[in-house]
Amino acid sequence: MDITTNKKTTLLWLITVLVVFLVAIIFGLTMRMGQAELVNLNPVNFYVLMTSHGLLMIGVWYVAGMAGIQYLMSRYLTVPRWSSVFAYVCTILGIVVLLTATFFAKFHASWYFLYPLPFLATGMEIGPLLFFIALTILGVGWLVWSVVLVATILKKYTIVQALGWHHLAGKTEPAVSPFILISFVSIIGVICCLLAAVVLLVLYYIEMFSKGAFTNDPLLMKNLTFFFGHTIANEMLYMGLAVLYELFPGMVGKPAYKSTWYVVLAWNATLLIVLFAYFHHLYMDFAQPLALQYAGQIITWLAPLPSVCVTIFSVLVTLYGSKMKWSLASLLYFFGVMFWVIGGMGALLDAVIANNFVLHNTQWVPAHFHTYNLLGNVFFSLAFASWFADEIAPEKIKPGTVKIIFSLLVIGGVGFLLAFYLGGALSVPRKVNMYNEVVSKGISLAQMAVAFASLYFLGMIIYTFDFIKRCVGQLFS
Amino acid sequence: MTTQKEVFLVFMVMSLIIICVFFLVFISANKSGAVENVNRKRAIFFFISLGTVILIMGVTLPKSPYFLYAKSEPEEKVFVVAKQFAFAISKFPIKTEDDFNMSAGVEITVPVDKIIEFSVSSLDVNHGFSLYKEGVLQAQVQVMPGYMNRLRWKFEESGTYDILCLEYCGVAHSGMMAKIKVE
Repeated sequence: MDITTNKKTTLLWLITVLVVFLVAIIFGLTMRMGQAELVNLNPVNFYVLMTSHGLLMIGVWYVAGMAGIQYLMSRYLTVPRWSSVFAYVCTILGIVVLLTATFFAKFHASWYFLYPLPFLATGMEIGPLLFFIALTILGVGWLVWSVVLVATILKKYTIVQALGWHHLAGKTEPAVSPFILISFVSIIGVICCLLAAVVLLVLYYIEMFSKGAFTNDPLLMKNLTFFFGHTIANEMLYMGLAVLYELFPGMVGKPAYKSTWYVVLAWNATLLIVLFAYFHHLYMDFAQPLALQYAGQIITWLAPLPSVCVTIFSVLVTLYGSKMKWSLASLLYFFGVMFWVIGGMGALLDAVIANNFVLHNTQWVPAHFHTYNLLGNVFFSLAFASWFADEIAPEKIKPGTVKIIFSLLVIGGVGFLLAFYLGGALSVPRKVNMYNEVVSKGISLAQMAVAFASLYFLGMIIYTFDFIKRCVGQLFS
Repeated sequence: MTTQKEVFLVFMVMSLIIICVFFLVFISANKSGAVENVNRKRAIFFFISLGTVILIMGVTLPKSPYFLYAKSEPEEKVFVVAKQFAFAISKFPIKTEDDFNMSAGVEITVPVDKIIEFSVSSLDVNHGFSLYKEGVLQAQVQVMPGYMNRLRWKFEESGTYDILCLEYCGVAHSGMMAKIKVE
């Protein structure tokens, strides 16, 4: 792909991501307003919003990771254009069908649609079919893009080289950058979880069309659902980190990171760890084999070791005494890493089985996953978008605008998340359209969340407006 | 202090430590300097972290709810069946729709300070069976169709406990609740 086309394609991806993100925030904000009793939402509409919000958020930030990797990969390899265009078309089409399933057909089985709820929270009869078609379109687009990217990497490197094992053996050539290594590892994980999603969808389709002749096993379906959902949520964060490894040293004015033995070991370990950590989602299913429950806690607690000792340690050492000139991109990267660590701490505490006994399905869960998504992964992708805008736009972002955007995102984000953490500490359940008399503390916490989420939303409106204003002309140049 | 509040306190302390470390490095970025012996420090950090993880596993894994009163015989058995959007709770097995309809909404009484075994299952979708006392979550287990999950629990205080569904199960999920009396 030539450079101009690559820039235009990436710009289109990023504008789409930012616009869809704003829409998904509106969905989430409306849900919190309903819980705060500031607006009157009927239950079906609340759960329609919840289903749409969750899937759009996961989808849009996965796609942002794709955009970053696709753009920077052209520094090393010639990546085919068609797979990116195909994935883009599938993403847009998938979103349209998904929103048709939820808003038109009133399908409301939540973003992780635990079997057999999709057959019993259907809205209109066609709801589940539309929903599964939407997931199929998204899955096919992303799977094709992932397979093409892996094949492209393997045209230049062998599998052993792409995994960096030759560096472990002391060989320096061919030099595989951390960006290639982490992208490869992450996309392998993505392919694994998308294949699990294929199996899950096929099982749903078979049951749907068998008219009762075939039924699925709920425990198997739950394992497949969380293997897919947990893994893709983590891999999209790792895709953001691959881009960070490529860009952050340059922002600090330091030499590029290299695939040293500990970087290679850490990311190979991460490839395995992330595939088996999902067991912690099933702690409260006592029918799950005991060994898997313990494996869930042990693997989840081992997961941060490579991340903290390699990635986070390296970011801190790179920045220390660097005489850094801060930009919006570098601020978002640095503090995105900080919030990623804080969200990880919240997740680890929940991943202790004894704690999960009183935290599972309370607001502690959205608290920690929103921390490393809203203030972690989203910050990583916004950092890439800011860096990209500075690369292609004729004018730079104004320093005053940087301060306003960054302050609104951090203050709004932290206050919004604190309401969730307090909700977890006070036993307030998640995924409810209203708080009954037992858990009525949730109402005032929802009001607090609405106030702070509005600040975050305002920050994102300013960010998006500034990004589009500076860059949109490049689409037509 | 409840376990939830202890976890919150630990989380806040750890978050403050993380924020302090990042802000110190953030401030250091205004001047020039370098970290020496990086890999030695990295190795020390790794082994301290690994030791901490092993210690936490050793302390917390035996406290998992799967072992609660495992060596004792339950003094009372309670059967719970969930169905959109109600719980049926009985001291007798609930095998049919009629059994469910007879027990749904009935408030049973169980003894305080005795081991109770709850056998929970579902007639339709996944639900959550959770025990609340004065708005504080005490214990929970998932309720899955086709499977029987068993939770052993000892109520240490008498009074009325609320039972809430904690797994999203459809449009009336937030109103799916029941009560159990302990005396």
